[in-house]
Amino acid sequence: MDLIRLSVLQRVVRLVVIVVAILFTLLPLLWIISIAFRPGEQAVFPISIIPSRLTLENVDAVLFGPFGIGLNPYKNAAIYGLSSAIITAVASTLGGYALARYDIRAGQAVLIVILALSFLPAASRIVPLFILFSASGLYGTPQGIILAYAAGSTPLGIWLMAGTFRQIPIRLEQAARIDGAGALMTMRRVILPLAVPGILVVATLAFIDGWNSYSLPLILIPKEAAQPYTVALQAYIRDVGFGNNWTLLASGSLAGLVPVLVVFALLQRRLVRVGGLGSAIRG
Amino acid sequence: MRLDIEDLTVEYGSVGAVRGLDLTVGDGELVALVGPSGCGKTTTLGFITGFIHGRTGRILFDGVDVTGMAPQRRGIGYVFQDYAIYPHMTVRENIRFPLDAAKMERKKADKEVDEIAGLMGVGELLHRRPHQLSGGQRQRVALARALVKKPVVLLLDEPLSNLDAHLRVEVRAEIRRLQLDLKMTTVFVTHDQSEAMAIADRVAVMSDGKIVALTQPTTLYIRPPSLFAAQFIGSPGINIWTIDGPDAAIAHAFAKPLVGEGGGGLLVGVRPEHIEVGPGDLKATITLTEPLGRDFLVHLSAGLSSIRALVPASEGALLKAGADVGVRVDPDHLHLFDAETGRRVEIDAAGARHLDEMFGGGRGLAS
Repeated sequence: MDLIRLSVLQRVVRLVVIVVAILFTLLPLLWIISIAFRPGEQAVFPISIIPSRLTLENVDAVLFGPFGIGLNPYKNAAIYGLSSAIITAVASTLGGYALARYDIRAGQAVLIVILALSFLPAASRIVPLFILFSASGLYGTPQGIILAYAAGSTPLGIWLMAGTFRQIPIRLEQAARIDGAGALMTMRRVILPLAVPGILVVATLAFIDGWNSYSLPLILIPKEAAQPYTVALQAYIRDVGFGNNWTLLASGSLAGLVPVLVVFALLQRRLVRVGGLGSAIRG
Repeated sequence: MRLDIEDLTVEYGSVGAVRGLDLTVGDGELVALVGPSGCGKTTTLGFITGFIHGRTGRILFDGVDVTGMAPQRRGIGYVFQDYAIYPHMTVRENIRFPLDAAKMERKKADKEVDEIAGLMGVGELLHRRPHQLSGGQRQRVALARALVKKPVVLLLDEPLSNLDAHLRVEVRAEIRRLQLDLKMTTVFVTHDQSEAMAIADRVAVMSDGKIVALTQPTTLYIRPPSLFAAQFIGSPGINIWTIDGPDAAIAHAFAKPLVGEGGGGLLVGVRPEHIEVGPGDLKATITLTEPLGRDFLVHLSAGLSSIRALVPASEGALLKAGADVGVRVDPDHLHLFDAETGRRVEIDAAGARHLDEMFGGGRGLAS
């Protein structure tokens, strides 16, 4: 295939567009970093872009200080997020496989409805969830919030897994059948290994959604000790930071960014399969 | 193991993919199912496997009705056209998979794998993954996987279609040798008639969901039971002229020794390789010569009719387009078909016509 040759002007324009896009994405992050590591006095109007000195005192105060939120809220968020990720992965795999493989006439319609519903913002689910949870005794419990997270992530998860399974040639399942494998063995040794990238994507998205969730736990988890860092951080700023201590807020937020980056770094290789399905079929 | 299919009918909506098909494959026999795309050959294979269910039809393994049996319990070896080997497993794991499914002890299974891999010539590749193999190698892995469980019947669905032309001839001979050594009952599906002819004990020609010819390859070539079979087998294709149509002159000229002045309602067929160019009563003009290497394909026209002749290169090189030549045919190489039904017609000594009995037969000359 011939590469498209660009004139010098086109290359310059392309470069400019790329740089602008990168800046657009990175600047907010860089700004938060700049705010988080500067002394509190320098975070008031009029503000300088680059602080005169860098300090870790904000991070220290938020996480480890006498009034700080500590690491517990982050632990809570991790537990809720991971649990939700596991439940979402299982539910999505089962649902996605059914939709992909079985000729259900309503299947397409169901899929679209499910997907449309998943676009409802989490905040709009708060009131119904509150009523439901109060009535069923799930209010304030970790099981409750985890289920709420999973319910929010599963629709998209099913859609993604259905897509993943559609990509796995049904030939392979037929071959396994002919080879004498039952449904369980086929699933375990043929289908699931090939579906792993999809499952990881679904689990990762579910984890991130749960990890970042604010409005749901704000209403559904009244007990301070059980709150995730999103809620705890906001309460801390309100109480200790006079409602507008941006350096403290920025530090706490950055701390919330770290685990997500770690997750991505670890899984990045596995999310893109190398030398996978392409060789199953002649090739 | 002897395989019987009785009265199979498979419908896709209102379109009949297979209609009233009967087939018997003897123990250790290789039957080729050949026909154009959509004729129902893969569907028939699917029925043998158990993935496709017929509206009517039974299938018997050694006389036992297995129609309701699930695919995984039938003990079938299947090679797909696109191999369908597991991409995330090594070659060893691929070949061993059927044995794992049968819960064979690991050490014993690995020994079986080594044996079959050696037989198939992939012994050196056991640690590789499919994406590290060539097309021919993947195909052998697929074959090894099918054979490792010592199946009762081997089914192959156009296994050579994705290989290069050179490889195809080599691999088909290997498959045939293997099949003969193992005395494996085999059904081989292909759209390539020369492939079917080359390796089968019997060839089943299919068209539109039915078997229209079922006989040994040489018989199919020498005495095709129907017009369809005659046209399908043999390349370049047979010449066909209608006695009642615009080809009357040439058809009469060739067929006179057999039908005299009669011959109404008949089609006359002669294979290009049986047309002699040179001396002859019938005059024709050469329109084009195609050098094919060992032979020349010569196109001629006589009046409104066209003739294709296959001659050795030494002859063909001397022929020039535009030249007038004579053509003749040995009456032994004439084929006659009924214009209405397409069935083969034999003329006896008294001049009476007989329609061929083998047409549409399912049991044929089962061993």
